[in-house]
Amino acid sequence: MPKVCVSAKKLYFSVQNGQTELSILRHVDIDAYTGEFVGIVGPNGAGKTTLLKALAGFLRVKGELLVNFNGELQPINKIPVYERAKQMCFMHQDTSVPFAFTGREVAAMGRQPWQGRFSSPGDADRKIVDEALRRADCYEFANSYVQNLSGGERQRIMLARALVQNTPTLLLDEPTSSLDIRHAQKVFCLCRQLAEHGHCVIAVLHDLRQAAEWCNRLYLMHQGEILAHGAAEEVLTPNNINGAYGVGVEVFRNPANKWDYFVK
Amino acid sequence: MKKTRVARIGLLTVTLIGVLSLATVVVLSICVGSTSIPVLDVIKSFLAAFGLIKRESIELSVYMSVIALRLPRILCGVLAGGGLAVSGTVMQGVFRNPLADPGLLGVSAGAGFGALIAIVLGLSYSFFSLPAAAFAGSLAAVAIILGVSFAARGSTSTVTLVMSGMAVSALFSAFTSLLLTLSNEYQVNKYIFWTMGGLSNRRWEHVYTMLVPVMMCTVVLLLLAGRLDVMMLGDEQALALGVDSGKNRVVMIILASLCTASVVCVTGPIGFVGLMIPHILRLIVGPSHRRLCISSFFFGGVFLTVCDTLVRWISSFYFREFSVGIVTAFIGAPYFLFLLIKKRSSFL
Repeated sequence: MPKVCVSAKKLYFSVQNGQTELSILRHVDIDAYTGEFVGIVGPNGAGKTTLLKALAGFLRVKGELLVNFNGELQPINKIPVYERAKQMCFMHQDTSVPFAFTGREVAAMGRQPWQGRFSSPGDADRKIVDEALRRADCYEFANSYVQNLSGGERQRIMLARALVQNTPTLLLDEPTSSLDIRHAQKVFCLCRQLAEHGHCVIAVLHDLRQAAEWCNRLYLMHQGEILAHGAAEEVLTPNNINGAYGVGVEVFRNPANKWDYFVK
Repeated sequence: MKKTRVARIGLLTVTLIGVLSLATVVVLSICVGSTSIPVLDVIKSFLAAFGLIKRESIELSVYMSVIALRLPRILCGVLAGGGLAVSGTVMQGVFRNPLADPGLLGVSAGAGFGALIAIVLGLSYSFFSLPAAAFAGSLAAVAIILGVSFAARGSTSTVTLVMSGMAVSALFSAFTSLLLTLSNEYQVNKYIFWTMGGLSNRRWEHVYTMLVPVMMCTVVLLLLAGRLDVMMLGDEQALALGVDSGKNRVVMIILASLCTASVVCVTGPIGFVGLMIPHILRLIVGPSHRRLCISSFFFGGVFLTVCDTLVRWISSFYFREFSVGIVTAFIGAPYFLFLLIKKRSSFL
């Protein structure tokens, strides 16, 4: 029986843009359950990243935001920050790190919420980090300086850090934006695996084909609102895509019998 | 370079090497001075001081110059160097910027103004008033900066803090300049001597003044250092890892400033220790802040003690002491430039 991991109702968020107020999220409702890989798609500036950050508790939003904590839903701002970090992790698009940290050191930072202030990382911690580095396919270059790695390699290190944190809910902001097709495929596979093992993965995605192929459910955003949500076939209709992106598309099944589209 | 393995020294090894180097440097630097004292006599004096051997087994003049004269000065150097280096490490981490130093938030400018007030008011004859005034000056500077950042709707972003730090430093420097133009020559001389910083004639009272605040701040900062690593990933990412950057930043800045203020009020400003030691150690032990902080304490102490020993050794020929800040800058500045030329700057 899937449990609710994150439940948000009427989320509203705005920023001051000079004299005017610019609303970025307008009454967004979103739910995510255990065992689910949920994709958030939409054009640039639709508010996808802001929604993800709101779910992570980074922003002061209006509305109701409940998070599963110790088996029951609680308002996120009632949960202490260090407890939240055991419930959900967040993978940022920004992968830069100042100073010469190695990839392994950055990945190991995911153990922070589970570590006491006085304890040093032990063998168990090292094993968890090793395994995460292997799963994110960055074991070979983990002992290099992060700033010497390519964007894609850095992104995989950040994914490894999210895996190290080992939380029931994972919030990933465009986890494959810098990855080549092979590694992107691997990451989607991994997200699906995590979901099948009872995690709840919520990811902002740009590639509609991959979103349709791998996600259990999609939320299509447009101008701070949810335009449609549900299974890929229901959400990614020519009508909805035209409404969100402003382009006419034809939707079809490709030879691999997967959802596909082309721009008319 | 890309696929090279980076090996790191463990926390325990770092600590052990630090303790041993510091102990060795302390003992050896006691031997150096206007008259050389054999190492064995230094160790004997230590044992006698702890009551482990009879005091008569060592010559009184030797015992006195070790325990009453040289040891307190050297311990002042250890505490000052260690405190400044730890504060520098924390500041560089908090601001995610390798150019930060302990005086970034107006601590030094505030201390200078406080010291000058004490000098002008003629309070500098008693032992405690000048350090107390300098300490009050630094606290005032930090309080203003934190007050401003809270007034700016609780914004503890690094940019707000650095900008207000610069403004407050400039303000205190202007006050100092104004007061200097109104002071007489003797007072100006006295102030200039203080700004050069130094450890000459520092006694046990000075050690006791610094000991508690410096050790307390250092220990707490060491315990918090693990969070600094996570804070390197940015405020939001740190929050997702359970660390509230804003709160931690304020706590660490207060502790680092308190530590710096306690050092500066006793020794006067000593440059380069807080900026350079963290840089050099980052190249050796890596950027992880636990190792960096603990090694900063030991090797900051080692560095300043060595510099001060150099001062004492040279002055034993010329019968005239100069400030240790000159030596730290003479060693520090060229080394720093050397690092920049070697293009290691991207690793700092």
